[in-house]
Amino acid sequence: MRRRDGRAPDQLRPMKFEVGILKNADGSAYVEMGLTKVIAAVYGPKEPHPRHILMPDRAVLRARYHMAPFSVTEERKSPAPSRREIELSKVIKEALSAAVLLKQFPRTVIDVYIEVLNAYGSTRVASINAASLALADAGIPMRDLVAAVSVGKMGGELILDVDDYEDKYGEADVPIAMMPGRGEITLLQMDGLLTPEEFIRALELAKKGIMEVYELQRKALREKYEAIWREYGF
Amino acid sequence: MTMPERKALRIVFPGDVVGVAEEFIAGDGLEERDGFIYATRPGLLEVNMYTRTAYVLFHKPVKIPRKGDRVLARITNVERNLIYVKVFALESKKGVLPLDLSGYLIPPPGRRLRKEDIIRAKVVSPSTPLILELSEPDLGIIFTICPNCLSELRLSGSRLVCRNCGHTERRKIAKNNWFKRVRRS
Repeated sequence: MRRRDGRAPDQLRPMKFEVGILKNADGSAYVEMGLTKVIAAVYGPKEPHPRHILMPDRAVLRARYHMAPFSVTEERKSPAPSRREIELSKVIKEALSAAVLLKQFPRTVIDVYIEVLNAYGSTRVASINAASLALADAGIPMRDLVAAVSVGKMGGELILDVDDYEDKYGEADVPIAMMPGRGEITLLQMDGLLTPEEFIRALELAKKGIMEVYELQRKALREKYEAIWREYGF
Repeated sequence: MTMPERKALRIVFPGDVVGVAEEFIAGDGLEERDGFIYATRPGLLEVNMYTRTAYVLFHKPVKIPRKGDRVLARITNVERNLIYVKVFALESKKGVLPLDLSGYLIPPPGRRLRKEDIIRAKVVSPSTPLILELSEPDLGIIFTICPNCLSELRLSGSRLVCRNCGHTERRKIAKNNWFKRVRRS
């Protein structure tokens, strides 16, 4: 089976990962997954405001997922945070919190800002990929990078890296985030219906895609850090 | 032939296994788990061959001071048993790193401190709000203004002197301060 954009069922969209693109942020990253384009910036660890959110034994991780008004095709999206954006901010925060060593910075806050520049399916997984790279770029200690992909079902067949069309007209959508080095899943959601056998196959397909994303994330970091350390004479 | 003290090994990324616990002590940017040492941030893995400590060099500092660090702060409020400060910089060998953190200062006995004094202090507790102290000779006021006329105070011996209104005072002045000296005629 070939998909609408010519991809094989287990094929990712063309991807681009860049690290350290914003000078003013402590860490930043830009991710393209096909036509989905996301930018993430990290600030912190820093003093929390309002003060009552601080935790005495660990840092607080805050994530803000936001879609730019020009990111969608239908009509201008309201820039105010929608119910969906608030929910995605929460699930992204939880997917990242599992990887960040928050106990190293008690009584501080780490802010992750994610801006979707162009939405064409799987924005939450692109956001997690970008935010994870931005956290690494900010030097925030992490157990592992978090890599994410979505698996869908269309025409009775499982497909990897769902785009906008497949998301809207498919039978299921399963976004999955993992710490690939540790084999731990940090986000697993499901929209639609899959049989238990299909679900297990979806997980296997996702793991394959996540390993490819993980390699691209590491490549992006390697390119930046090799250049930096070359400047220092190593 | 002598062994080099520091040996740069390779570039590592979060989650990379860099060795086993018997090989090195896990320093900055590394954590030990189940007998293995993992990198927790991207950077250059280096080993101090004398102390057998491995650490990951990161190209920019994380903006949280550690215990014993020297910070620059502005006094924002003075109460009887506590002085509130706003920390605006971290002093290190590499230079001054801007910060924006709140903190408390343990008042030094018999040493008067005023609102708006700029001080160099030592970090006693690094979790925010920071707890600072001024007990060592290099710590203390590095810059302040006259309480009467708000002019710049100058250093004359161990006293601070206002050239505008003649006010003089003795304060806990840091060794390496920003005061101009009074020129003796």
